[in-house]
Amino acid sequence: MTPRIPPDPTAIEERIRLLEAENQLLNERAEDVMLLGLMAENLTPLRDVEPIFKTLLERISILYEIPYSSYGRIEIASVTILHEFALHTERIPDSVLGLSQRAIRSLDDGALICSGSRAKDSGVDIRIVGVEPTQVVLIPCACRYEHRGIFIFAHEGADPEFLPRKMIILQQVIELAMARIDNILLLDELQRMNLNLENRVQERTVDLHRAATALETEIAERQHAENVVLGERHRLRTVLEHLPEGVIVLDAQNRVVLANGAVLHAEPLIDETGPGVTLNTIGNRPLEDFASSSTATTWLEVTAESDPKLVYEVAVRALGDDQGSVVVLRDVSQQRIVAEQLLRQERVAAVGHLAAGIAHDFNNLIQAVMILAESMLLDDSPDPESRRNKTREILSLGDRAASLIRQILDYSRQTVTRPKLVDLRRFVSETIAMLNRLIPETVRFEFDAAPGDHLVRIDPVQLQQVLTNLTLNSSQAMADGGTIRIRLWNSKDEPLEADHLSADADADWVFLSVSDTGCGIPPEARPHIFEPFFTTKERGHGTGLGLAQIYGIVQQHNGRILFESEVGQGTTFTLHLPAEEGVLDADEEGPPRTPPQGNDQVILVVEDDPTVRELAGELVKELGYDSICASDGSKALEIIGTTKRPIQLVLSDVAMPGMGGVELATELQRREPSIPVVLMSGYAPDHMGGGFSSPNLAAWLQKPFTVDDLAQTLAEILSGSS
Amino acid sequence: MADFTIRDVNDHRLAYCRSGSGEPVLLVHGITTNSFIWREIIPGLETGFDVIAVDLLGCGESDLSLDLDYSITAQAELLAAFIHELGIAPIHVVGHDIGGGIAQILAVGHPHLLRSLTLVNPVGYDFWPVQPIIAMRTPILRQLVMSTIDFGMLRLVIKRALYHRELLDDELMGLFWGQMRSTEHRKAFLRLARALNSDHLTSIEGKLRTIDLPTLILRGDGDIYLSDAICTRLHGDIPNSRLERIATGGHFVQIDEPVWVADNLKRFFLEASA
Repeated sequence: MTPRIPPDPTAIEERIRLLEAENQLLNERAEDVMLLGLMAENLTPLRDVEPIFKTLLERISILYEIPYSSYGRIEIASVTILHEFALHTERIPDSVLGLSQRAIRSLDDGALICSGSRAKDSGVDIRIVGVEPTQVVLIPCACRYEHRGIFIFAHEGADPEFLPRKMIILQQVIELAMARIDNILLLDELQRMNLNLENRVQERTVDLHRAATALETEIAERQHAENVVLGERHRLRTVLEHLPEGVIVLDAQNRVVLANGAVLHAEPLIDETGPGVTLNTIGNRPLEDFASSSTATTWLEVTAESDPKLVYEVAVRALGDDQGSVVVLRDVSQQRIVAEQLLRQERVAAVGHLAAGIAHDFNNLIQAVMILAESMLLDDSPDPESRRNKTREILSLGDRAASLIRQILDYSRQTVTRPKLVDLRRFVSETIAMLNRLIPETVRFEFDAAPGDHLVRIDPVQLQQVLTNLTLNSSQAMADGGTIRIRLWNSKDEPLEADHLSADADADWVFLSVSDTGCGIPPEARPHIFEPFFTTKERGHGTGLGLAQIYGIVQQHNGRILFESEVGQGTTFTLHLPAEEGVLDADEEGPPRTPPQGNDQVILVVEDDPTVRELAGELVKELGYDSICASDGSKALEIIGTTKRPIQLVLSDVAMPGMGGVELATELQRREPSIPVVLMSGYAPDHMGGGFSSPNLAAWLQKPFTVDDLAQTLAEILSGSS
Repeated sequence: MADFTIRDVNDHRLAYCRSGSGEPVLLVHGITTNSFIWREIIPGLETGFDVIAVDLLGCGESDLSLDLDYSITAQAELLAAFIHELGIAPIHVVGHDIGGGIAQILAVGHPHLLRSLTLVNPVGYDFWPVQPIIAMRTPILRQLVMSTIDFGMLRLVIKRALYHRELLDDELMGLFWGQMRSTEHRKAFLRLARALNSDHLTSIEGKLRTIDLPTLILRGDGDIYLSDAICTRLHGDIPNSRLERIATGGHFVQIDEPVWVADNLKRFFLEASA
């Protein structure tokens, strides 16, 4: 048995000391591991950077009894502290950390450890209130959060190797924290990107949705618009089809684009109106004839060669910009028939009215003549003067009747006119001088003639009648006196407003206006003032023929008469007479002459009215001729054929029972063309004879004619023939 | 437990829970805990006593200022002023862990304020806090430091202080971790731990024998942090002291065996007042 060697106490103590030292190291190692695990555990749930620094600094400070730790950013020559932890005080102490360039460069290579007392030797100036560090360690770090970061740990312990020993674990823990911060920032960035992406997706989705909605709206609007257009087109088409007028739309080449149903009724004018057919004529008239200006539509009347006769009004208007044209045809046949019927009815009514007026006035005259004639029959007085007086009264009544007839003929434009070139300035001046004697003294004239000539071709007698009638009307309208203003001017100097000239706007006119300041014409009377026997004057003060006469005279001279009137203000009549140019006829006015006398030449007087026939025969004899009378044309031919006396002139009435004057003249031209014929008529020759002319027709005498008229006519013919 | 009342004592803020009526009883907790450690004892006492459970400086709802003296002597002086302020002397004082040390200093320094003295698993002499290598071969103070930053370490520390370890559920663990819930609490806790100095108790060793108060010493035999020798020696040094033991109690015997603790306290208080 091996003797047991008692243990060496010194060796055992040494062994225990070694074991305790080892135990100390193991403990420290265990704590380091614990710190790493702890930090990993504590940092993992953190989502913000701030608590990471706070947790890191506090855990390290507590575990390693580090009184002051901080994290900051390296500036040019110092550190800006961002997070701090002080183990033994509630308040974070004031701290200053200055770094020399050397220290900063040194930090580029890694951590810097310096003893508290010799820190300045390393270029580190650290001052922490309440802390006396024995060691200071500066550990640079970088992450996405801070590229120039630095951790500072100040230790107060006496063990000079404490912080150098902890450098590795400190750096590991810091790296852990920095990695966590990077992760958090990356996660944040990722989340932000995700959020951006989601937002962008959402925005795009919203945009798409909005665009889709807008598109749907637009489609709906377009559909609606299309429906509206289709509806409008349908409505227009319907309207077009229901128009009573035929409508054809043509393209620029006059090809039919569309035509409505009513066009079919215009078949007599247009053969074919199918789409594409070229339309060159309407009722055998070229299309160009119908072209209207852009502003006014001209309706041309076209009569179709059909049975019954069809009358159309046709207008063609360009659509502008070479878009073609539109043709409108309206069938006015029925309107024409109705209008003609109306016109006929009006004429009949007018004739009736006229006849009644004539009958009335003539009845009065005839009544007076008959009373005088009967009185003469019963007059046994030997005094011839009494009979002569009555005879003169009968002649006066005859003058009045002749005047009445002249007025009616003037109105009906049946008067034989003797137009001549007249200067209205002189004529009106002279007429005013004459009229001054007819009107009351309370009425005065004003005559205003524009400079220049005012030449018209007119029958001076009739013009004087016109001025007389107008002046008398005006003076009667001014019972209390007033002014009659007569103006004279040319259209080329002062045109009237367009509405006063419905046509011939380019023609030259002489305007002659007569204005008064009288009572004016009542509105209800205005449409009738030119009608014969229409009068607003009291009974006995007017025949109602004055304005009718003027109207007829003006019309007969291709003129117009317009009037403006206002009750209480006055009336203006304006004559429009075609302006003429030329040299004035020589003034034939001269001293009164005795009628030229015949030389017993035989004149055959043909008149159906016995009284007139007898009177005419007597009158011819009084003028120095011999006369033979016949009651109609046939009798006249018999006399010419049988008498041995040479008939040198035939003076014949036109309208007679049996053979009339025109037929007689015609027959005489055949049988005895050398005998001149003078026709007498109450009607104008163009009306009565329809423009009759014959070589033997020497003259046309308008009834009633004066003795002088007859004497002059006969003398001129027979002196020429002899 | 009743709601906390805050009272300024010598410019320090002290928080306490007060309930029941009768002779006043002041319950003083130890380290790693606060007044919550008495939560199962108070219901057994408040039927006959005016029970006041206080949070020491640096703990719970009381002042956490780091400028204050956290030593057990300072704590004892503050409690003496507190008893004066409340006008509750003489009073039954019960101290656990370092609260036992504070109670000893009170009994020696201010015996007239006390009606009785109870020490539950107390610190004493220089046996504390020098419990040598135990867990992880690390001194207890180091364990406490690590506990402030490591929930797992705290849980290990607490668990080892219980006999019935299954009692440490999340709710109870939450109450312990509440001591470390903020930087201020953690700093205050570390300051309190750092302030522990056996000199304050060794300096009154000789005066223990002068304590003339009914004294009860309760010992959980399962307490692995504080040595049984402390209780045995205190029982030997303090006259009129009684030592009661329970085998199924750990360092936190109030949690392991609350009925046993409460019953012993009531019985003792009644005897002391007789």
